[in-house]
Amino acid sequence: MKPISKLSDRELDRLLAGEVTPGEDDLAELATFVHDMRALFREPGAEMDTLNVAAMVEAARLEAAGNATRDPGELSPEQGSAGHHGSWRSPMRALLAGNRRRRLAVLAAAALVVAVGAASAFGTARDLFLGTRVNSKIAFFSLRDGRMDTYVMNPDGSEQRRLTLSAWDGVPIWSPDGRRIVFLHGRDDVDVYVANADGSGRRRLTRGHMGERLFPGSWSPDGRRIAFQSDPGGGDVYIVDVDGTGERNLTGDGSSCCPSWSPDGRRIAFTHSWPPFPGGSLEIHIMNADGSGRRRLLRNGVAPLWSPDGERIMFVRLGGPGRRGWAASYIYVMNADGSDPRRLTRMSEVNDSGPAWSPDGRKILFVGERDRGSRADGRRSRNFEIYVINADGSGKRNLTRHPGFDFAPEWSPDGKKIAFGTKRDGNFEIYVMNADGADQQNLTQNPATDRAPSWSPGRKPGS
Amino acid sequence: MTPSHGFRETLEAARVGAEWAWASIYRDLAPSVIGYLRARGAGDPEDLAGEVFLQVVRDLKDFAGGERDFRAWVFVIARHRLADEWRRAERRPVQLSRELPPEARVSDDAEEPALRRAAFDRVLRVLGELTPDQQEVLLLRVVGDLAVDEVARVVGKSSGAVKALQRRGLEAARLALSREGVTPSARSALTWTT
Repeated sequence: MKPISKLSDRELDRLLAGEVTPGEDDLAELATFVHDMRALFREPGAEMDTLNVAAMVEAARLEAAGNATRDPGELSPEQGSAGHHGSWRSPMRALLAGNRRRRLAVLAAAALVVAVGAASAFGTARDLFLGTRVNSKIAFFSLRDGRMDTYVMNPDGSEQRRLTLSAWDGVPIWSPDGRRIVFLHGRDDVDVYVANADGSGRRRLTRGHMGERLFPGSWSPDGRRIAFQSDPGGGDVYIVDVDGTGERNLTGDGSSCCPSWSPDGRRIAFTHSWPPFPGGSLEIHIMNADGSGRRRLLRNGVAPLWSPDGERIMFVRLGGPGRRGWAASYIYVMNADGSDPRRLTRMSEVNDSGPAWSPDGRKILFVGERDRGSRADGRRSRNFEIYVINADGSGKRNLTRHPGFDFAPEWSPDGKKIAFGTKRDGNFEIYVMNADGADQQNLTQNPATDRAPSWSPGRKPGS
Repeated sequence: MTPSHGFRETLEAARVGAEWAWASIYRDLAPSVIGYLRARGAGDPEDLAGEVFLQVVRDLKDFAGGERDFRAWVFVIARHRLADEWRRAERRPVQLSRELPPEARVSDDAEEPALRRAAFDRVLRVLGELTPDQQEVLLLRVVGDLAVDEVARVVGKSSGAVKALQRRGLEAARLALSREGVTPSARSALTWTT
């Protein structure tokens, strides 16, 4: 047996890189040990920790904001909602404070700004353009084939199949008629693509921007145009026709994001930062769909989302650290003219995130981090729950009530079901439940990661 | 980071908060970092890795170098954060992790986790025969996927010292393995692809 001291550096490198095949060498036992050490200590490999990545993205943006020499004044949520502008600096401090709960709180707030999440319901708008609708589908991400691809399945979990072949496409956003999807694609440079609902007919719509972003309100209600943000670090609100022509910059200030098309297609609400993002205070603006008639609707708000009837706009207000030192975010609803903003969620719901209107506009789904607990396997809980609340702020209910991690809720087109992501079974799966939280069922049932459900509009099964 | 990305472009995009860039960086490094933290006995390796990566974000402006330098730099941060955790907990890293990765505990297959457990225990027993320095060098080499000179930078020793430590560590591991006798290889139980 060759002593280790007699092995060359190259042989050692091969051994430590796991390149010595056990059984073919007198180092077999050692090679097996090295292999086991690598395999057992490392994670399975490709699974993304969504939260960590999202936190990194936000931290980078917040850090950039800090470098923009803004006054890092800390505001209480009350000050914030009194017309003062929240500062990015306090979330950054909280984010770096090194505590997961705090990080998640900040992250949940920040996630709203970038609309990391699935498409929301625009039922009324969709109904105007029903035509011959296709059956409803649920799109989702899965790692089941070894890399993150977009899949679709029927709402009962049947017929799961791969839609795209790409390592990191964004969550697809369904066209109002459910026949097409728009998504981000690209490695060195992300661009906006449109494709048929079955993944065929893929067409690139944009090029040359820094890194486009799409939002739940990106489709025009008539399905002809896409609104997008041009640059993750700020950028402008652009529109482009679904045939790839007619691209226009609607804002031209380098500091606008998060467009949401009104259900009648005539206006676009968006988030604007002044001074320019990153680093400015965040306001909600509105303009005509051709970019004219722009005005500020509200100071201190982000991520506007029209109600299905077009009468109201939901948005989020970011607060400074609360009593327990966590950054807070609150879901608000205001009239579409900017009047009467009302806070729906309280101080204790610091992690409100990903709110979505029900198709009838009466309820709002959101994710909150309320109850604590430990998972069945004894690990510490980071426990998000899915809540529903009436649009007037009454009747809040925890729908999931599970010690596992539940997130990314998504209404069915008829509002009777809710799809959501969960890690309750130890890995990410997509579940569906009734709108009252009953009958929670695993749709994906796959040992690989499945997440980010996006429910297409469409004919109800059987109708 | 795949070669097609271009490391420099990825870092530039990361600095302005491009999601794809951070996803790429995280995907590339997290398994190694989490594995290293887990092996070194971090209480919650994923949580600590989150802290590590946030510090990566914060300190990125101070980083200069290529892709391999970046990898080593991230592990320097990981090592510091681990030391912080030990200080916070006022304990020394007296023993290696006893925690199997969570994925090993969710299988429905009764036999497979048992095999994994056995393989894991064997790895721990064998590593336990190594000095702390030898353990760390081997973990950084194998779990962290670092080259000798990168490990040297992370642990603040010369490349020669790292080479000597890894040889002595492997020698000790081989001796320990020979004392373990013939054990059924757990390799078959270690298919991590899902």
